[in-house]
Amino acid sequence: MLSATLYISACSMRNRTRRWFRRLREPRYALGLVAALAYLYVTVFARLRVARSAGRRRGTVPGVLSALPGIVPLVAAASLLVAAAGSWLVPASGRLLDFSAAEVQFLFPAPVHRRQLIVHRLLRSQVGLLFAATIPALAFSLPVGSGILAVRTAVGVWILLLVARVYFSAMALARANLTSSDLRFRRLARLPLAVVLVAILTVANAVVREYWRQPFLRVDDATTRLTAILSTGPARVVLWPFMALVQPFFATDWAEWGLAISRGVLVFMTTTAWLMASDALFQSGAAEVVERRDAEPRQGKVSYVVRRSAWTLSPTGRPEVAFFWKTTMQIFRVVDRRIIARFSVVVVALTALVVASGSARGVAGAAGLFAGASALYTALLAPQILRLDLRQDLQHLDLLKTWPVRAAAIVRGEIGGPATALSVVAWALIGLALLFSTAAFPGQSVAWRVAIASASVFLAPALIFGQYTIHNTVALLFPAWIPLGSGRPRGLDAMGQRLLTLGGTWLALALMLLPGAAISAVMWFVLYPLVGPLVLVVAGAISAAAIGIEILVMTEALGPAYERLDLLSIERPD
Amino acid sequence: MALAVNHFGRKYGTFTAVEDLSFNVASGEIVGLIGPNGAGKTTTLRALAGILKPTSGSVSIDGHDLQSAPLEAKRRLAFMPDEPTLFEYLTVVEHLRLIGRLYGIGDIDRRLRRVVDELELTGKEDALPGELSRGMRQKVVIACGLVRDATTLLFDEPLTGLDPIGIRRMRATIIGRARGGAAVLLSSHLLHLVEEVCSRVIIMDGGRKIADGTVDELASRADLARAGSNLEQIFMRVTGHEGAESAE
Repeated sequence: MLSATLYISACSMRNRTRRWFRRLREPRYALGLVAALAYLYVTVFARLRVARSAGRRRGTVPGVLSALPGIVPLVAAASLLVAAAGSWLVPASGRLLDFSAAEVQFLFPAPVHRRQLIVHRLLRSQVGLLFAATIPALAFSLPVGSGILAVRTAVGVWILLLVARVYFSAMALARANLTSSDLRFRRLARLPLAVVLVAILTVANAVVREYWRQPFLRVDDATTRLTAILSTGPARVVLWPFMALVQPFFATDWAEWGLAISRGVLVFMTTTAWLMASDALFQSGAAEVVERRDAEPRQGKVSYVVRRSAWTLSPTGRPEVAFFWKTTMQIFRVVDRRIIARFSVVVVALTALVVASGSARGVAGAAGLFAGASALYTALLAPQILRLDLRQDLQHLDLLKTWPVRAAAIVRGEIGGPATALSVVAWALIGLALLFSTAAFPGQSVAWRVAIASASVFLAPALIFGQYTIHNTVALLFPAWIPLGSGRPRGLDAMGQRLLTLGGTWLALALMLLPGAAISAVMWFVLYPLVGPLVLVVAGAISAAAIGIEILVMTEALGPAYERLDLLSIERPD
Repeated sequence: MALAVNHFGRKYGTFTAVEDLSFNVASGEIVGLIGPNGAGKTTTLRALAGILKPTSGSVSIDGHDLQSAPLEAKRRLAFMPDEPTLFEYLTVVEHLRLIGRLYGIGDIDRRLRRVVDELELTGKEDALPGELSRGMRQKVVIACGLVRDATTLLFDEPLTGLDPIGIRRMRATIIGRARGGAAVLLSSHLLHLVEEVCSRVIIMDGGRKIADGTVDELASRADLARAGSNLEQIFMRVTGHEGAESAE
């Protein structure tokens, strides 16, 4: 089986490389590769050279987190323990058992042990894990150390990810057999749960007892006492495997790092042995794995659930409304947690950035800044993410092309749904920001705050509709540059291609804003002395109207491009 | 003529998929389009549906040229592809309503009820495509084509994924629509179906039309006279596979 795995890996790598080189013959991918390499040089290698020279001056290579106090690794280890225990309640699959359709078809009927299939999946997942380990290692290590530190961190992250993948997979198998009718399976499944429960109760008991002995009064007091109780006695024993996984990031020299890594490898081997011991569970659950695979949406595919709506499409009226209705149905029925997660992560990060650099006062101030940052994000970046327009519907081009609808109506209809949805979100956030603006922006007068919010009410939808128009124009004029649906072509060249597309979109948006901005600048000089901050509202409304006219002209002009559009020019995701 | 194809050709880069294809389909006529894999049948049907642009020639539906008056032509056309392409987030009934709106069908409620019954989709009206079997999704695509009174119907492998009852019903539906005055072009590898329901057959190979006529006309053609009297024998002979068949 090992030779089969190596054969599959070698063939797939060879074919992928061949395809990649073939793809590079196309100018868009060759350009993308150049852009990606330039981006990587600026963001990684140039910084690496600076970091290396700084490291040489210092003469030592400390751990990426070695400057942090001693409580931090203990808290990190305890957090891993909580995650390990919590996964029994909110299960994670580990994805090790997510066999592809081809693997199910070819390997399941083959005369091989199920544990060999697990090893196969483990080996096949290494490239992805190594890549996943490298990115955070570079991001965290380069600002504080050298390239060697990045390698050390990457190895630590890799082992951590490996253990997580194996653990969650074994846990998924065990969890499915907790109530098995077979006593042997039940015992095999319940034993690890018991071990994790004992571990978490041991740590909780130690912390609670210490607190009951004397409540924690100050942060430094809590830090000292928690460090003491978590690094001694039974708590130390149960936290040992988790400490082994986090220690590489806190090691101060090579010897300490080497010891920490060898402990991590030991934990990995133990977890893998547990997974292998679960082979019997996998034998019983193999059919279930296949069924689950068939039932679940494919990776990169969005799933939907029917939700009743009060809006029934009337049989007559403008076709744009039909598209608008279609997108509205899609938005209400989408269950893509990834979009929500991505959106939330970016909004929270932006808010944290704003709060950290600004002067938010209290909860109301933070809420105001949060709403303001979210509104800004919604207006400027969300159209890039919420692709419920032609970028997705080009997948259905063969259907759209059979409909007797003008191209301009199709484009406007496709833009209308997601742009309206985002505009409503932006308005709500602007309203919230205005509500909390007294606390968030205490330096500004009420008149200015109301004027800015009112101008934003006009500008936000204009920016959103404008961006959607640009994205859809690019989709029609350069369909090969637009990956369809939720899937994405992978590789450096594809990344560079996306960078170029994003840069081009923003440049086009800036050009689109120019006429409105020019008129607004003139109005500012003429009207500001007369009406004060109110001029912002007038300027916002005029800019929005100018963009609106541009959108109408652009969508009308797109007709021939739509008629020319050929199915062959469309990029299918990998 | 409901459907008129004149010197139609389509190239993919340097590869010629279809070359100089001309034929007509009259109202009430069912024409079978058959040929081996890669003959250019699907390319032809997709071009007739307005999905692919011809690289040469013209296509007209009820006298409306597909290039110069695409909206008028498409309004009269219904294309039922072999691969059911549906919006994953719209239910069966919502697909039909969307079609009703886009084609301006006033009495869509009555029509959708009729077509749902006709294609045995009752009980699945509120299901999403992801909850339907391949055959059911195929029925939804066909329902979207039949819910309006198109004068020209293009079927690409309409029986794929259907159960025996569905096949029987679909056959009756196709014949019923033709009797109602529609021009039907049907592409299928099921030669017995084509022979049974089609009044005329077009055989394609290598992107060209190599035979056109009723089964009797083809059987009486001098070069095909030795082939036999049924469509399968004629097909094998005309596509040059007769020797291969007898070798087996």
